[in-house]
Amino acid sequence: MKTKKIIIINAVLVVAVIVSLVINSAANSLRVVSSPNGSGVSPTAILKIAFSNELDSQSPYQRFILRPQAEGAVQVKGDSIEFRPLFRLVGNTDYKIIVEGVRSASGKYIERSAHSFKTGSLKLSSFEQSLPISGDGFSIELLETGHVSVLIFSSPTGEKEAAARKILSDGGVADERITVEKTSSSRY
Amino acid sequence: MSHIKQFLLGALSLFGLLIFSAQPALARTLSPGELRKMGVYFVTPTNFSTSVEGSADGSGACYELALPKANDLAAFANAIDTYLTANAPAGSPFQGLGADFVQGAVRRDINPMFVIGNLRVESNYGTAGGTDPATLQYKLQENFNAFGRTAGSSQSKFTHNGRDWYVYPSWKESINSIEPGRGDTPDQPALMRAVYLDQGKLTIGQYIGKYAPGTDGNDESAYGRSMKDTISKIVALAGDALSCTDAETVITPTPRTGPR
Repeated sequence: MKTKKIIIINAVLVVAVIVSLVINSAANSLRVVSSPNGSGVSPTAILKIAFSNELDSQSPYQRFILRPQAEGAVQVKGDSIEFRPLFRLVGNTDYKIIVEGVRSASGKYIERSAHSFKTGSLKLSSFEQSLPISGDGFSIELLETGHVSVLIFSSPTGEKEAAARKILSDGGVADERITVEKTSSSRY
Repeated sequence: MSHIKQFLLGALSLFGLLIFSAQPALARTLSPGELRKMGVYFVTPTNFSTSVEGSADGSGACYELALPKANDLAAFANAIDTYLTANAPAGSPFQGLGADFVQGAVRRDINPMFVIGNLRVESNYGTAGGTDPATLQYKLQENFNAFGRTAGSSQSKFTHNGRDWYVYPSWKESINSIEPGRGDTPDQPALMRAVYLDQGKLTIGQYIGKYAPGTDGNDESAYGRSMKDTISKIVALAGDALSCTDAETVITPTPRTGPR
């Protein structure tokens, strides 16, 4: 009878230790609270991954990976890692973010965290949908970044550019989105 | 009567022999030079076959001038054709030449997507000639030069406003040439290899900085965006046909100094 009691006490102690370890481990782990996911993510959105704790100010993460590539910069703000694309992302495209070696201010750690999402359709104006346009000695194209590219192929380049800009102005395209390259010079 | 029969039979045999011996001459493909003398310009003679298959062990980077790692060259060529169908004017003479872009570039260890990026910006994929025979663009198109390439003194050329411009035998051979006797750079990939890659121009920025420098009136940034856009679209279409080590953005934080 005494032996049975000892066994029961020991079993209770073991269970208590295990539960304590699990609770302790959960309390010490760093969790992802929110991230871009699902489909329909705006191509112009800031990609934000929020964690359960404030991140380490000196070494918040080891690597941030975005697939497919996009120009932009990463910022750490409190408990979040944000990627701000320099230009818009490609519409209707599957993206993946991987962050490695994320560390909180209190020393909690995530080795690797992967997040998949799909961008929604780009909202194109009727003019943008009509691109590309081939004019007399120039072309107007929409780039994936959202820029509108004017390529000028022949002289007089000033006249060609003016004609292209008139079309863009009529189409409601803002000047800051327009890039112009005159290719009438020689190549080697 | 039998004499007449024998004569007719002999004449018929002789005629047959004549036709048979004339076959090679009749079947001979006219050279681009002969075609031009006849006033035929806007054609793409196919004087050698093109085929691509298997893989190519390239550098791994897709946004650089060196040949990328291609797992399936035929699928890569198909992706280029799909890109051209969707993005180049229907009248572009480069439509359907995906295998030539790949074959010509692989021969020189060059990224074919750079060649297409150049075509886009330089001549709207070979369609920017216009209708005025007096203009440079018309003459470039007439001579299958969709890249605005100038010519050296010993190279095949035409002259416009005191400058010499390169003459290609055909559109196809401007991107994929096996013609001997046209020097070391008979096509655009060969030129890219000798004048750019072999001289350390690897990235889009380095390449454009020499090919279309700002000092020559170019907007290098605009040119670069178009090149990158072209590559990005083809990479997406190619899928597993390419293994791009640079198809992702990798950012490592700059370590901060000072007290925590």
